[in-house]
Amino acid sequence: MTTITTVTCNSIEEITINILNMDELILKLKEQIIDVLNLEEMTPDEIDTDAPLFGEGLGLDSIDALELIVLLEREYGIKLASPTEGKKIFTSVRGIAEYVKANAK
Amino acid sequence: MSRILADNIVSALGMTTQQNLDALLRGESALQHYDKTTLAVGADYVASLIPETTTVEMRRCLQNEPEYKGFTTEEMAQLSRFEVKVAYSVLNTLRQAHLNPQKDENVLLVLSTTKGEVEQGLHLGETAARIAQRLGFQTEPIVVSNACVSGLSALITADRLLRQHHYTAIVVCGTDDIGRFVVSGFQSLKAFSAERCRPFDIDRMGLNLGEAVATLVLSASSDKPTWHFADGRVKNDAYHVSAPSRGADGALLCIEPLLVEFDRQQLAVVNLHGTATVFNDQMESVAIEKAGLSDTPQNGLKGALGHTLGAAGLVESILTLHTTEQGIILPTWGYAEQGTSGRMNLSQKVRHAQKRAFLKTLAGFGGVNAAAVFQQGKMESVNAEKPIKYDSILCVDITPESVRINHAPLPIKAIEGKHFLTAIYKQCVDDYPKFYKMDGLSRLGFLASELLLQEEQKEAGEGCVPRFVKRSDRAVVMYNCHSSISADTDFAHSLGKSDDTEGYFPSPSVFVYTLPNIVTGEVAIHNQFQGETQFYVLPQVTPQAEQQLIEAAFADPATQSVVAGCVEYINDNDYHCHLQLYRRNNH
Repeated sequence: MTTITTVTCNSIEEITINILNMDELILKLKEQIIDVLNLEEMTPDEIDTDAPLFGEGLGLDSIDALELIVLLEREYGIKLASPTEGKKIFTSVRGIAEYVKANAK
Repeated sequence: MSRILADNIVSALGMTTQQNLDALLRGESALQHYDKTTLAVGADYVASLIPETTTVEMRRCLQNEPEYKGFTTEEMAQLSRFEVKVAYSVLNTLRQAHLNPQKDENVLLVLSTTKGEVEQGLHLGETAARIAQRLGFQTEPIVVSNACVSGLSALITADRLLRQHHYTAIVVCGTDDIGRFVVSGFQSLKAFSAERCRPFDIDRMGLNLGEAVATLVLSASSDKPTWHFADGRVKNDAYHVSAPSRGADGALLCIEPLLVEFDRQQLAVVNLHGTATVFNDQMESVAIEKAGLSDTPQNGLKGALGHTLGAAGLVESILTLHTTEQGIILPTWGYAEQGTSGRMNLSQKVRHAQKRAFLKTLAGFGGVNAAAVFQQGKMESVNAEKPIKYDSILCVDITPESVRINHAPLPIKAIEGKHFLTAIYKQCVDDYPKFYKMDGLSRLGFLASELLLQEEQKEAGEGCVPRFVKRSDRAVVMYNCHSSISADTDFAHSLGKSDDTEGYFPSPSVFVYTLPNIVTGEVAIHNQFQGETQFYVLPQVTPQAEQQLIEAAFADPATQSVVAGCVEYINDNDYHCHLQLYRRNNH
């Protein structure tokens, strides 16, 4: 099924986010997470989309959370106010993807 | 134990120790709100910065000093802010102490700094050599770069060098430039409070940075009733590179031996690190209660001057020394209601000091902790000075071309597309993915230590202490000439252009690695080494310098072995490491 949508975009980045479907965005995010968090031995398929990022799952720490905040700003123009706000969003890769879809500038 | 000959502080509150004291006793704070555009950083910040009028005055004074007399006005204007601060403060104390390094060849300069001249240049060993030479020192300087504990770390090393009779006097000077590099770094870590910081308070939200330079001159101990640096300890939590141990492991390992050595009833005050971050202050309250110091008055001074990084241990010790001498305990600026779990004895008011000795504590990135006792007069110590003897047990060498264990080559299987260090990791370690988070300097030091410690296990066999079990009898001492230059370069790139915030995305993880001592923290964490960790930067690595620094590590009676060596990582193609395991010889 093809849907034709008319969207007004102000930048190349905006066009890209709006064209990517959820699966493509999730894959892109996984690649970016592997890059910024130096998860050198992992491939995107090894990251469970719905597993917790902190605590169990990938077992990321507080500095990783800060790097994810920088990633959101640099790649998607999203500015988070505090690490506490980040904690609510960084539940899983899907959690981040949904937030990005809704808030990317 | 060493005698204190002279001291100086320059900050936003004044150009002498006395001016700083007077301002603090009037209740002043140097912390101000700065707009983000002043440094082209991401957000406004609160800090205390040495004002332009003061730096102009320092340059003017230096121009009249013999050491800078030959300089043209242009050359004086070219001097880095870092050099101006160090030169002014050091010369001030040399005059007070009637010391002339040009006439006395056994005087040493020890610089305490986390980032040196980072806004102007990244070669810390060269910076130190240039400054020492201009000031007339005939010995090669030592830079202590041990994160926020550098000030006490430097005093502890200086005291040990004096006890081993290597020098007649040591000038210990600490400062850091509070510029775009460090402000961006701390902002990326979200470590700042948007307001004046509130140490130990229930509403504390983070730290403020402060700019200061402070100098202490030490000489051999004296029977006169002058102030002495009594003794100190540096220990690692072996927990996390940027967060303190919840149980205050490292802090207690520093404090407890000092309370055995010195009578806690003689302490007027405990001057704490008190950065006003949620985790540091909580950790210190736990340390205070567990050490049985809850009733001894405590205070923290960062609410008045901010966190002065490389200067902190020196500034805060000097201020505590003079106020204790006058029978005063300064209040804790920014503190109102206690927000930490350990039982403490803090106050918003000036209190009376009954005694004439104090304990100073600090904690820093890399998991490092430090504590030191200062006293008026020479107190009897329970520790007799024993001669230090040690043997070299093993060595490892890593260069881009080869790996050698005890000088025998270890062939490394190259992996296509991967760096040589990654190939070493895959072949020889392969079970510690945190390796991939490390920067080049930490990867290099970590791998060399792994090869060394694996070899120790192989050679010692059954009798060896098993790995990965907590121990505090092994020190990790690393040094080089270029500090964390590779990470510094990477972090500077993440700041984009120097004058605006386009392309400005400071990386918090890269910033952590711009502290060269992190490599010692990584080794400590992986191995659960809760002993001393130190990082030094030298103009050149000489056998004499190495011997002095390794001997200094063994001056801690608890240290039975030391992993020590040069770890130099300039860039991905230019690096080398020579690491040795030394064991104390008790015979």
